[in-house]
Amino acid sequence: MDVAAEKKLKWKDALADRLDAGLADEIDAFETQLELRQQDKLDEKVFAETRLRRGVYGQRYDNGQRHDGVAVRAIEFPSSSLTKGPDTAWDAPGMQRIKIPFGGVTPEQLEVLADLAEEYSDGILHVTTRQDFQLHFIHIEDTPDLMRRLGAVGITSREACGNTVRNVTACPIAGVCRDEIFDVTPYSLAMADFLLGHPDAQDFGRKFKVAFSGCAGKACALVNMHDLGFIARERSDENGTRRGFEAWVGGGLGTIPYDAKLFEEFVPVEEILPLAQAIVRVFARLGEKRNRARARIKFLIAKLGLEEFKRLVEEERAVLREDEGWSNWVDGATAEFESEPAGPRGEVGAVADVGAEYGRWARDNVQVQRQQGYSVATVMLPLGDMTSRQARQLADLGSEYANGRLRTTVEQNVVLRWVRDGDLPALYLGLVAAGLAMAGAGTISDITVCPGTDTCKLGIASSRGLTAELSRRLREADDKLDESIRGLHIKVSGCFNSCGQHHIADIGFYGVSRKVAGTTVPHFQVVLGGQWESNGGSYGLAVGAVPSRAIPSVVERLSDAYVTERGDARTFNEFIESIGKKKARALLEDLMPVPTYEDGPEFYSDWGDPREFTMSDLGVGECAGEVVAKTDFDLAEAERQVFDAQVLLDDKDFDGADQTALQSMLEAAKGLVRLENPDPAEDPDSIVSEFRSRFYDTELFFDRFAGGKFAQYLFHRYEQGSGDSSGEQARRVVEEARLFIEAAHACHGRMLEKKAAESQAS
Amino acid sequence: MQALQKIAIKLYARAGTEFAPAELIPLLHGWIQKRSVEGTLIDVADYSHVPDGPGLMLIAYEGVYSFEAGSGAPGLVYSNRRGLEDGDLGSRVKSSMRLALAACEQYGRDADASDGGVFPGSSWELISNDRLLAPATDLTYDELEPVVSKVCEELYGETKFRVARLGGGRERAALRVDVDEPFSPSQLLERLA
Repeated sequence: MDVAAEKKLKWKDALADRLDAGLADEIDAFETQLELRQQDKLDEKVFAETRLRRGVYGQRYDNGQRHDGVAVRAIEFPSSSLTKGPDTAWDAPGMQRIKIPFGGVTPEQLEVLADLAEEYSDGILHVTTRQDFQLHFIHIEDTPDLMRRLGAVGITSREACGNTVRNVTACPIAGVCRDEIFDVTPYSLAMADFLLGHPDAQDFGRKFKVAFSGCAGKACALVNMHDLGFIARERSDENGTRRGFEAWVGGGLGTIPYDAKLFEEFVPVEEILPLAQAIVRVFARLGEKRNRARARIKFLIAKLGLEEFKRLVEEERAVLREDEGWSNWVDGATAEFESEPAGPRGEVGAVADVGAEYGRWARDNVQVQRQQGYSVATVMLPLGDMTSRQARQLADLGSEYANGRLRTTVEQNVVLRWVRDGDLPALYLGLVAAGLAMAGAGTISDITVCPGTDTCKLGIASSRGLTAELSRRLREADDKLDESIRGLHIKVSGCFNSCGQHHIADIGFYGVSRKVAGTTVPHFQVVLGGQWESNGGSYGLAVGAVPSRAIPSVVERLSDAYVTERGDARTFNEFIESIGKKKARALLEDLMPVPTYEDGPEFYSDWGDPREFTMSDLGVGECAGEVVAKTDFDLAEAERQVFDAQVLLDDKDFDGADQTALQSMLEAAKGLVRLENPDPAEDPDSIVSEFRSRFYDTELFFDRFAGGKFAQYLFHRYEQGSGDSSGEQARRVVEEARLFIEAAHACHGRMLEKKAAESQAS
Repeated sequence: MQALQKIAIKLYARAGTEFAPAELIPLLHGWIQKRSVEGTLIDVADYSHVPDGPGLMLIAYEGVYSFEAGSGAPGLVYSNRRGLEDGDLGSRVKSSMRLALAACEQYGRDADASDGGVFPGSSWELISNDRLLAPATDLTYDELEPVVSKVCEELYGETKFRVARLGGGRERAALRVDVDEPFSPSQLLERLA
């Protein structure tokens, strides 16, 4: 074939007979939108939402700027003026999120994902906390072909991002679990299919997340943190036993975590789709659209109250036009979604020498299935990553030993189901050969983590760098770890947005920063008291910020205390409750100070990133120094107050917690006002008024991504005045106060940087 | 196949070479600061936690430089992602090779304590990173081999070289080149000029 003819070769043509016609048209339309944007015939904001709805996401530095350790420098992309969204360079490589409903992936699909990672990405497949796959450093021009190749094996990236129904997650051992009521897989799949592209689910102010769990006690689907969650139930009466679901609504993590509310104790299976449809219609109709920060359904339910929300949903349900798609799948769903593999596999059984590590792997990574003679094997992926070569080997092992049944997990691993017990040694050896036999699945070294500063635009601290370090240390110490410690869960987010699910960990961390002597130092807030079990049953609270470099000592300190001082506490959560937040904080207080640069230069850079991005910030003028010192003092006082508020919350003094949290926000606001007015008034009215005029109206307080959202926390709470607080309200105000203070720290940092730059310029 | 743009070149490092993250990460950030290698340099990606993975990567708009330290065969890979210049396949292979060699040369200047010996220049791979234009079929190999041989003649002159087929099946089509004597990256760069 000559070059001209080769240039006409397209995946579009090569896969024409393997792509669903509707999907092919959608991708063609997306490709046209790409061209229109390149010709500046499509608005960048419209295009941004369009690509997000196809899972095409931005990545760090896509604004064309990066601090290289010396200064912020422009990245000179070739198409310098073309954008793919506001402040997002067209040429900047981005991330492609790929939906995997209920985490179910076939060997054939895994192979295609491996090919795509090699040809378009960096050769790495990343499993997310929503059972998706993500590929990074993708060029936007490659995305239509990438989507076609996915579509040819039955995968879509449609509605993987944007204000849409995200990947429907489910327990990864559904169908083989010993504790489940019934297999939720067919129901999660039906929900995913039903809501994908549904006209009623296209006009949200924010995303909408759905999960299915087969039981209430375990964590597998984390229903409590979902917009809409289902827990399997059965109900018996004189007509027999019926399947249904407990339905939960309005949960979510994000900046402020909300517990899901019980919407209905029993929804018959044939009603789950119309119920979901009615809920998304109410959300689309009444949910906030302009203020992104309050646009999740949890805010709508909080505003309306659960009873009113239920009334509206029921009213909506009553007028929905009958849709055969609601129930035409239900009869088939009661059959086994995955039947027992047919026939013996041939030569199986004991393998002569599996090595000394096999026992450890089998202990941590293998669960016995409900079906006798079969097990589930978990492949633990470090930081959720595997190479394309490993993905192919895993596909082979899945075909050979798991009858092709693989699922991703919200812990960023992959499970192989239906492995014959006799095949486990051989599977293990296969995994060893693939570099995928790491033991420790589900233990303290199996840490959940978001991308953080590695690739996320919002990341503040290096969550992956920290996690790699913690995992390494914990694996090395595995033999010496007390059994009670091995079972703890650590989760790490690079910022307050909770993508690493830090609220539902025994020990959670989220990235923040602090100015120390004019220099930015990466820190993590330590979040304690969360519960992973019971579907993410309760949320932890921050007890204080610790420099990133001291976080390994935090884990050591807390786990030592748990082993030696746990007393009657059955869980870490109970232990933290028993000692109280004050003592928990006291355990860590000596780890909080930051040494001088001369004494600890490593504190001024992040894990796995040697850039001392703060060195150029040094040299703040002396005049500013005095003002800075007072503001620092105010912010430290605000931190103390918000911590006291948390202690009051633990003591169930909800009014006290609420008032103290408000006071802490006022203290932080006063500290900022002091930067512009060295002698601020002390009364709350004046503080709020002056903060509003000096920092909100001028947008000085605005975060690049969150805008003025954190200031609204102060205004909103202040306008409410005093009154009785419920536990949930008080908890929310305490969380909001914590975030307001973090934002005040960030604002303070920005102002110092600005002053330093002005000082240098003059 | 002749229109192939996505070309990766892997230059093998001496056996046993380890690219320690603690040393290489600062070095690669330094390359971005000083613009030490060609391309629109964006960031450093650390995959050292993945067994036998791509190791440490320097991400550029045009392509990716990887320092693979896996147990199999350590080396530096330059994988082109965006269009190379027009011209025949041979000139595009040479472009990718030039970028890979330049990175090896830079590494030698910045970090190689073994007097330029980390990348002996005597073994390398060409990987076609496009399963549509260059699937791992006999036809692809048949077309690739003369192109690679011609590049080898330029690189190694009279020195005998061997070209072997790698990959195939599900793997990308790839060719491995070996010669019996070492050539420094600088020497090879000069010959490609």
